Amino acid sequence: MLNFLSFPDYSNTKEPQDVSELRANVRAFLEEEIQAGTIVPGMQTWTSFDRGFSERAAARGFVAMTWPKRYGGHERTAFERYVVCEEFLAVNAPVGSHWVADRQSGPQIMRHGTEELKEKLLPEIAAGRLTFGIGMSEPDSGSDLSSVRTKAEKVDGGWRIEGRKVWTTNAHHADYLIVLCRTEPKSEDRYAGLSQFVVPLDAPGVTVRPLVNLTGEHELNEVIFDGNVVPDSHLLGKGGDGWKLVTEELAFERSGPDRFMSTFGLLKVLAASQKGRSDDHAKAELGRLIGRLAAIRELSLLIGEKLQAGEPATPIATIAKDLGTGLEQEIPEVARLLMTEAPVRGEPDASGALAFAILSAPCFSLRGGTREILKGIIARELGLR
Amino acid sequence: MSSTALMLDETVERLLSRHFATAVRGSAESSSTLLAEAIEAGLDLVFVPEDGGGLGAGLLEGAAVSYRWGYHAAPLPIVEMLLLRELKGLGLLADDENAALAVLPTGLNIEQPVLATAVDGEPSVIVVGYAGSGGRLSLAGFAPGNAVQRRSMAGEPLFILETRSVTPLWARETYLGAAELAAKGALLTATAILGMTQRLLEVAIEHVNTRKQFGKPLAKFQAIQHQLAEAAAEHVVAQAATRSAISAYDAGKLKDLSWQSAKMQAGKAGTVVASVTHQVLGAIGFTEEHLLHHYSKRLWHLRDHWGREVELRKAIGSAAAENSDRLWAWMVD
Repeated sequence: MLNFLSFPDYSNTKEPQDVSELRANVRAFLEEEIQAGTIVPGMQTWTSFDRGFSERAAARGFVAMTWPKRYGGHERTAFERYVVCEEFLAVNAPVGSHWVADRQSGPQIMRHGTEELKEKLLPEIAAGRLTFGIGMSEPDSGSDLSSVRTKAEKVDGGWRIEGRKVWTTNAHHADYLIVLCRTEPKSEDRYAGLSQFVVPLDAPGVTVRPLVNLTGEHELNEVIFDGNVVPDSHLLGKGGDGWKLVTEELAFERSGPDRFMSTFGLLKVLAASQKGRSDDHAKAELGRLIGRLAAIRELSLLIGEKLQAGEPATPIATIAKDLGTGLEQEIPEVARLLMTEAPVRGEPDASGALAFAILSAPCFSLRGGTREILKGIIARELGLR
Repeated sequence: MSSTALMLDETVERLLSRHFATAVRGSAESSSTLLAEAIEAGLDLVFVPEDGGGLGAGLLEGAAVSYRWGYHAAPLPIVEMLLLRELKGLGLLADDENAALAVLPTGLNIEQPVLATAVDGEPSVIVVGYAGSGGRLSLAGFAPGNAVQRRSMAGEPLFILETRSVTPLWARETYLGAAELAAKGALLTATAILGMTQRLLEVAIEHVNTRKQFGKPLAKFQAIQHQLAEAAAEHVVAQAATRSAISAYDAGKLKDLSWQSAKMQAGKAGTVVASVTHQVLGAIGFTEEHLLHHYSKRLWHLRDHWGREVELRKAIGSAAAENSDRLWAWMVD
């Protein structure tokens, strides 16, 4: 109870790694991309898909940074990877093609995949050539994830999958989905009998249907599995331990800077709108948001350290996501009050960025675990449930 | 691993547990005996240089003291005690002065009254630190007769000084940075606040797990769970910001944004944790029957002490607007 962080921290006497050269390299790469017009500041998020961008980023060593070299990785530290991620997000780079694979699917395969699967997929992810999607939610299974009904049945040489997954970002571009399936009938232990599979989306029997979101974009999808068979080697873990696996994966999903920087583009616009003005109230409001962002970033950096050290990070990752998404949603609220521009669509200017942020905001506290689920997890850590 | 910090933490824990085993919380007697006990244990020497007979320790070691102090909601103004003794140890303040202290990260603004805190009864001088030329710390000593004595919300004496119409008894330039001293005080205060929020969360959790209404412990109600989850989240994010700022300070790499943000978040954590604890404890917490008020009143006071929240917000906001064409680099480099 209440031991989320050691405080004051008497153990930490190590100097933080100097990453100034890495930052300079990433910024130089991003500047080239901005000049080339592939980055539209304030009008993209980390779900925006651009395979070319991901391949170029990978060629510079900015994908699969912490992975072993034999799988195409670069054996850099978790902190270095964190730095690259936040630099990408700070300019709203279109990282959607590799983001999920780099953040969670690849690491999941690394930890729990068969050697065959690792050799086949990891180097391709590291090269920026593969896109992964998340196959967790279903039409009747959202926050209560253990109630999934998509089922995988053992057949000769593999598993036959039947069911539906929803809200899968970029499934229409994705090569693979990691799909949570029921492999044994539901028993008294609702978390038992689940398994994760790496499912290729080009197989016969798989259909992807678009779900257009509030910004009018097609990023979300429904994915229907109608008897497609995946080979045995595509099972993650031992089988039946899917709940443990999915929980681990979520710690990676909830921990990063993508959980508090989704509206950073608008925050930049807001800060610029106050330059040279002498409105104390506006400065104070801006300062509150920036100070909050700086603090949440410090929390997020500690998660990276814990994940790197193999320590449990779920409790603080949960807190970081809850606070981070709250901030992401507050930024457009404050911007509306302080900026002179009205939220209007159509151009990538201040008005457009404001409109885009307002229209995107509802999903921040839903994707990756709703606000209510997160608070429930924190309450459990506090010994209240 | 700082074994000095750990040792100080344990020393203060023993000292305060022993003190509060018999002392009546909030009594004048408790405050004055505690000061004697703290000096006896050498706690005021943490920041005094070694050649002046002190520990010459870093901010982390001082934070160990202020954290434990906060955890027990002990009455003495611990931050002023540590920093006044440091100024004396550095030879910047006469040893025999019983000073009340206020430090501003900026220049002296005569439009704004200064709130100074005394450590030991009636002060002989009111010392105001502010940024002089090149951001160096200037110290000015004012006669106590120029100030009005009031009390903080926690009941401790405060001296309010209008600097507009008074002349200091003396003024001197120092070689320290004003912002650096302000940051040190702010981070020690943030740490004390987080000691208090730690204890209050423990108290609140214990209470909701024990107290039953409608036939079940309060902890089983989701509305209660979510309130405490929010309070704990504010506590943890403030811890992260303060930890990082303390280690940056000790490494000589502190940025203004870092300490300003840490103090601001600690203030917010204090306010949210106090509010939620009051809510879940119910009516008893609004009386002096329960120890909660010793904590909540201090938290409400400290939010604007050693870094007024609105000033911190404005400072961050102005700097961010000024640097908006390179906002991200300004934040992280």
